[in-house]
Amino acid sequence: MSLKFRHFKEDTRKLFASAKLWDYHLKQVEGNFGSGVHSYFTFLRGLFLLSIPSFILSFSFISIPQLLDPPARNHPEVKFTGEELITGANWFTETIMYYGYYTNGTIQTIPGSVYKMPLAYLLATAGYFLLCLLWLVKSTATSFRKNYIEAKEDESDFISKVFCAWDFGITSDDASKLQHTMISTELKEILAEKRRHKESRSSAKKCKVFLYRLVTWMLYLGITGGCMALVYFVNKELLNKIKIWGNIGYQISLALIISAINLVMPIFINLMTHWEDYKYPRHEMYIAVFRNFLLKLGMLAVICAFWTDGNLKSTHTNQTASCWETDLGQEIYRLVIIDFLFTIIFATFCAEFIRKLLTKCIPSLKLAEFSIVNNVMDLIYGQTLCWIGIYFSPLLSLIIIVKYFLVFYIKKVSVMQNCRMSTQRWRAAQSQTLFNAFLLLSFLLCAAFLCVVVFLETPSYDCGPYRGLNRSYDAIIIEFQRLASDESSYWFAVIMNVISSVWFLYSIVVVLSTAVVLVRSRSIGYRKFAKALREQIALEGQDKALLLQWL
Amino acid sequence: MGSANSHFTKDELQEYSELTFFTKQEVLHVFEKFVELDQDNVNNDKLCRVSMEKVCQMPELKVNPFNDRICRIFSTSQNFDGSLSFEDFLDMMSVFSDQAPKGLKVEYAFKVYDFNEDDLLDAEDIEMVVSRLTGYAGSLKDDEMQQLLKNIMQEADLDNDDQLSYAEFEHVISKSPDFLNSFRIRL
Repeated sequence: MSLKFRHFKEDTRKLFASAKLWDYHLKQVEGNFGSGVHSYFTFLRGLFLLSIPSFILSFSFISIPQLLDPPARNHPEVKFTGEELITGANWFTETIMYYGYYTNGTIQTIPGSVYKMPLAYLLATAGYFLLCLLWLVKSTATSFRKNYIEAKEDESDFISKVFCAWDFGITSDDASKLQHTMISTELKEILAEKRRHKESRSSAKKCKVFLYRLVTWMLYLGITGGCMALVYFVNKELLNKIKIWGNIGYQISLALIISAINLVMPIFINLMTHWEDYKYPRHEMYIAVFRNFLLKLGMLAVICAFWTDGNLKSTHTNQTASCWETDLGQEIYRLVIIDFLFTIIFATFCAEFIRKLLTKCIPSLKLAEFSIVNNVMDLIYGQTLCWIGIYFSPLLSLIIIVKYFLVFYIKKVSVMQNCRMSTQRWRAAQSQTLFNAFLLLSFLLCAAFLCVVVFLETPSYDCGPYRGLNRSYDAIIIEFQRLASDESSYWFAVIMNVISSVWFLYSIVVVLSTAVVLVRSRSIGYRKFAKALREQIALEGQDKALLLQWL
Repeated sequence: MGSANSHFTKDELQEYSELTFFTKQEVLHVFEKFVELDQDNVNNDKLCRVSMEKVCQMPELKVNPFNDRICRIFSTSQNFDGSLSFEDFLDMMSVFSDQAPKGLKVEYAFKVYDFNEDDLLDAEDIEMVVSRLTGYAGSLKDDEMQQLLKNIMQEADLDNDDQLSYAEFEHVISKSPDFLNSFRIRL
């Protein structure tokens, strides 16, 4: 049985092995920069691979059926100018790119079949989110189990600092020299730290640190609030300025502002956090990452809230206004594009390439370090944009695929050519879990936002697959009612009645909570068991020592 | 590719892939790597031994401070010169591959670090490991080394005999999340 299973596993692995994307590049990066930078690229590859099935899903179930039966354009006079590639507006507005173009009717190109667009649109999006959820939960759970549950949390474990110190994968001379230096300094540092550990901080110093942190938190919250307010007001101001085919400057200004904030603020936040004097560099990194994450998400939340806001919709009913879903989709499109350009131009070209050229003139200047934290946060941000935008712009996943593809190659070349290895050791294993957790969190927030849009918000009156409905979700309800009233699908109606009844819901909640309690009490039991066993080992060791003495 | 393919019969490849954590294709890939180490000899006789110096020219091993130890523990040579036959080499790459289970890796890591081969990691072994790790970057001072040893023993030496047995080593190392990431050579 187990042999068969092994063969099966082997076969599936072979299948995947032939499709191992970018393995050569990954190995090259690991050889020169160690497993830290390598983890950034595997993260990128994971997102890239995730977006391919998502694209296939939304393209084949939403876009292709619509392409078979394209509705007439309201503004056929608008021609493609090329500006659209950046603004995502104008000609693009009435294409399969955006929500507004999709029909609320059925598609009957293939005789004898009826394809209901509203239903397909919702179900394909739901399927996409389900796919992402499964992938995320799986990857987060795996890395969590591997790195936290099976591992112990200990700040100063010397064993792994000695016996797991050497990265056997590195191949280049420079990297190995750096690794020698790094291990040597790190060991000396933690030894010194251990000695210092005994003398704890004096109360005066504690007070000072506390004050510092209070000030920086206030400063940080103030800045975040300020950025969010700025985004809100700019958005409001622009709304008055843009007529529907407005000029490019107005259209992209919001995206420019947000991307600029995203570019500059992480540097500032990192400095600020460094100033707070955390005991462990790891804690400093966690706090900095959390702050960056909150800032980026905060600005996105403002945009989402702005477009779904009821006030806006009431002022938005004049003739020139298009549907807000398409507008939001366009805003997200611009954010994706401008964010990509900023990453390439400033973060990669200026900060890494130009700096490399400068080092030739100024010898004291060193090559840039590849900042894993900032780069991973950028990826998470980009993926968040994709999740928010996918409902409003089904083809966004295609753009994301292209973006990831380009980012992979550009970053790889830039890292290999223009960067040096980080002087701080990177605990790849545990930060991977952290990044996965952030990704999952932002996914859940996006999913919650989309649930609000689908279940609570009124869709635009005269565009998109849900025109005329009170809520997008009604499309499904109507379909259910139709099926339920249909004689031929009697059983379906019965099943639906059972599932939608309160008692069914209650019993599910009861079963789930029982399961949670059970699992929880089991885990507490195991923990006690493990503790007892550990004590037993220690006792047996003492016994052994005693017996040896007697001999 | 074609030349590597003709070196082995189908059955041999099947057997290799069953005995290691590699697919048949990966076995061929390992063989290509092996050929690169010493082209003339291996092309004449695929079962020949490649000397330790030549094996250590492999990029990953070249910079590795434990390269001689690795060769020695994987070598099946009768005169203990650390030379590797293709099967030894395959064995080595298999242990370092992603698919090898943690337990196996820990076992070999223990052997690598056990310089005096007494199946115990004592103070002497650990000092050697640390000095090789820090390399030319400046070894630790004596008192630092003593402190480090004390801390390591505190952490891992459950039975207080001032040396680490394999069981003790395995107990602590398999909990370290960094171990799998570091003890790995990709094909």
